[in-house]
Amino acid sequence: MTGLGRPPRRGHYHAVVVGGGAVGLSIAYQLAKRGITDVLVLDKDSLVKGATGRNGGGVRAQWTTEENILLAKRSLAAFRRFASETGHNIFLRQGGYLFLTRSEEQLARLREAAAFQSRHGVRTRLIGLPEAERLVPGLDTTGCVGASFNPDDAVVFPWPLVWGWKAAAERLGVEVATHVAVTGLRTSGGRVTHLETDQGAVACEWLVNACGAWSRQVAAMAGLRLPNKPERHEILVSEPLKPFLDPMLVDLSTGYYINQDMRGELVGGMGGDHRETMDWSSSLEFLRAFAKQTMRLLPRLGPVKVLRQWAGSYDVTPDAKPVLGIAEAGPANMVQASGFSGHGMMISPMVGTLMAQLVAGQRPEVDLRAFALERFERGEAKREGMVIG
Amino acid sequence: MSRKTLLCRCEDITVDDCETAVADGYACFEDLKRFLGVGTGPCQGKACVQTAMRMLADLREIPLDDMDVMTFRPPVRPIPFAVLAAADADPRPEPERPGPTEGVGP
Repeated sequence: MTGLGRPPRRGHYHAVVVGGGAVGLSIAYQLAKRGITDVLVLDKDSLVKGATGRNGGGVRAQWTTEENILLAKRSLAAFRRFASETGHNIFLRQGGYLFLTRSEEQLARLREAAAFQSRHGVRTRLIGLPEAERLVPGLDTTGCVGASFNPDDAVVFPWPLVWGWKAAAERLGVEVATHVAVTGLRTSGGRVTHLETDQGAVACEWLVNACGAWSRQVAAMAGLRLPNKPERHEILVSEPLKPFLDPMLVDLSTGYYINQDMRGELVGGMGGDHRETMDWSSSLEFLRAFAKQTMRLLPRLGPVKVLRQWAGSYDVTPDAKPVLGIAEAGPANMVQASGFSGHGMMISPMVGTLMAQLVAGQRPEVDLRAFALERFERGEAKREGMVIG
Repeated sequence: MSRKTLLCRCEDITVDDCETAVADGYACFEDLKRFLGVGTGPCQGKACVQTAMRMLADLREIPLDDMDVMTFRPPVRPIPFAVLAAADADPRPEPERPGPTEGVGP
């Protein structure tokens, strides 16, 4: 192929962001909004080809750790402003998230989580099965014991996040270069001085590592070891239907999730044996397993056709929370923003704000200690308990 | 063919949309798919991808053989959930078969 690359125009930038997904572009946009416009975003491929282009679009505040709830709540508020701020429609639809459970033990945990969330201003409540059946037409609750529901949780179409943030950042002077691969990092005196790419070297004052499942490799170029592992997750989409499904429906016993996007398609995936691999091939096993769960929960969907399936990576950390900020063992001017464990897109607005505050020398408005890489060594990691898919 | 000719009927994409995208620097088919949504609708590209690839190659003034092809995803034809759920739990091994783009191009 010829002429694909958009190589960097200059040899020096104040900040270089590696990774042009939702997280990287959100950071670049927030930097530009703070007056730091001498910014380059690098991506080794077409945009929207990594996890931002492959996820199910869920945006929720039902988490079990305070820091995740805080990031999610403020990100949801930013999603609500997104269209007016960037001019791009992300098809936000706040139909809520409904978590179904099949065991009393899990119901007790859900009750605890709902109480925890409502203490943090999230409108989560436990609901009975009749109410769940009202919220999800055609839902078969046989074998279920209860559910939790937050009416403010939402789904978006993730692709326009990239185009919106990219356009808004470019209007402010940020440069986005695609099809440029980082091949090495040059360090001196505990700082990154240059990125080496397949299209020449680029000097920088700040380096932000925000390239999802590839972040571990970029960190290693600076001698920094991240505990992140790429897990393969599968997902599918159905033919478009008239709107009928308001909430994102989750069955906690299988990690099954399904929602209806604004194009009318059903989008869904489920938990399972997710291999550590960057192989994104699709499997018949997933189609069958997902279809079986669909017939169990929503038998009326039997005649609805599956249109397309694909796979992508969760960049997973040991406690399912991201690694954010400057690592003590890494270069002093290298910011880590990775390890989102399947929920990077949904908190990307706030991650952008926090990382930009860090680079701009401002105090991040959320305490980053819970996201520090060092938490794993210090044994301070508190696992996020509500990861699905 | 006018600028208003529909290129992708599922996603309402016109020739003009395609030309604008190329002018904005979206040069390969993977870009076009993700920027415009061409090929992501109910036809899954069966009705539009070849035309879009030809147009992209012409706009970039490169041979069609040098264009990238988007990844075609399973299933080839839409399959109902009920059929998939009833599928044999232990199917015969899938036959060896060439990928969709093997044998295409130079």
